[in-house]
Amino acid sequence: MSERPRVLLLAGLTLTALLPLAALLLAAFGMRWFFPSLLPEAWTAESWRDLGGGRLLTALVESIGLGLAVGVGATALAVPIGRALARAGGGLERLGAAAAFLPVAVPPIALAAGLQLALLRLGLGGTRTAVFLGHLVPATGYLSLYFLGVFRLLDPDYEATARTLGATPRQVLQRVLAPLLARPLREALALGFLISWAQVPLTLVLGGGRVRTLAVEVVAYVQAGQDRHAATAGLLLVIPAVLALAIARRSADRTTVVMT
Amino acid sequence: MNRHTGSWVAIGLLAVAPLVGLAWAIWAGAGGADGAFALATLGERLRRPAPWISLAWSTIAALVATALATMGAITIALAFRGTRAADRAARALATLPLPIPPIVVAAAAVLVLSQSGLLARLAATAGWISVPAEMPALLNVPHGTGLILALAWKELGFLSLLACTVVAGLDPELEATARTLGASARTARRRVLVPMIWRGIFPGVVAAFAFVLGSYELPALLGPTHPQPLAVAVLERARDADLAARGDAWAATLLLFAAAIAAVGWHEWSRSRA
Repeated sequence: MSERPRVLLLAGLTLTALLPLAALLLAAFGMRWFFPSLLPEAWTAESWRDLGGGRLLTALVESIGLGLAVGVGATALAVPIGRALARAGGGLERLGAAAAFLPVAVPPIALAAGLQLALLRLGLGGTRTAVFLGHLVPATGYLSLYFLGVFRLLDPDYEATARTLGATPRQVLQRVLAPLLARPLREALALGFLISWAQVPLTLVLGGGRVRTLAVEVVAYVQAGQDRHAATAGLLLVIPAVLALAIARRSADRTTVVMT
Repeated sequence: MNRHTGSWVAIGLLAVAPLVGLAWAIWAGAGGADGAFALATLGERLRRPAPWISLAWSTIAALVATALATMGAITIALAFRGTRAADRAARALATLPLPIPPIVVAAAAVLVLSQSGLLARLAATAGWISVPAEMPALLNVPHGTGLILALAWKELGFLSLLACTVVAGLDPELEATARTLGASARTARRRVLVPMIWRGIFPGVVAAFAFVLGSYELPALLGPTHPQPLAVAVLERARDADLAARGDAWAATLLLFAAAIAAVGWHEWSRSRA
């Protein structure tokens, strides 16, 4: 491709990346920002002061708590699932991959509507536990697919060799699998956290409006026309997501150290 | 427990929640939640046009957004496959939307694409418009242009990452051979590279389409009120004070489940061919 279209394409990409970020920053810190001004007349950090004890702080703590619990819970489920499916091989492995893709592909709103009745019958309607269980479903699906890939690449002979040399199952886990899986486990925890962190429909339906995460607050702020608070909560949502991607990329650069 | 038992338990664990959801949707859609279960009730609800119109609108929007994102991803992967700083910067910019939560994309789209948004302000600064009403409405309109653009941008992150990975793994000899056999640079790209990239990213394209078809956050904030995107219609009807409307929500939920199951089948089929 010649240089001119490449320059235009790069300019377009820069614009599409910068415009949303600039809009969020201007709305989060701007005051009296009337059309057609490109910049606000004054600046404020009023919405950020909510982080000292207001609605934003409560939502932030709720999101972090749920995200951590979902990351740990989904990873704990996905490791044995991914291992069992990878070791099964053949048609069973393909069926397992399709089963893992199902909770990922089913729209969260359909999943939430379906699970809501079941959780109401269990007396869990509108509780944090219901939201946690709801978030766990897509997170376990994603992470099972992830660990299916990890265990496909992991030679089962490592475990067999350690057992032949007299290692107990516990020692195999501690001395062989844990070091090999350290990086995938870190990435899985981050991915599970992010799936919960960004989740809206499952929280809205299963939380019944009582569980207020940061993502749910963004919906409420946008619908109420409170752009400054929506942008502030939006920026808060972006930070861990971008950090996790950066860490995953840095970690991927070191992959060969682990796998060879 | 032998290894096959473990695999079946794993499959059961993964499928249980979607299947419970599906079973409840069928039961409630057939009137079970109101104490009068009859499959005829479900059939009657499924014959109403509203959920089908919502499904058709959502499918078209998802198809257009996925097509735009796929074309963008392939173009970027081909144009910036080198190791220069500009190539690396372009690839990083293209994958930027990947980690951004959909609700933040929706909030940013409102701030950029609304009639008094950043784009309208830029147009006013350039002297193209003088009042917000002169800016074409892109959000909450039946043609769904703003929603489709936001969905395509969100998908571009994932698809460009896939396309760049596929291009990085292609044998450079393929293009060189095509050129040696007399193909122009453009023909070699169109007849050799693009089909190979397409084949590599196709399962990802299906997954992205399924994600967009069932997504809620962007259609809820950027989509039209009539026809309602399917995911939005499900939630609105499920919260309706009218019990009959709630029953319709279950019929719409079943359509979403059916679309997801079709997407899983399509995805597995495309993966087996890749």
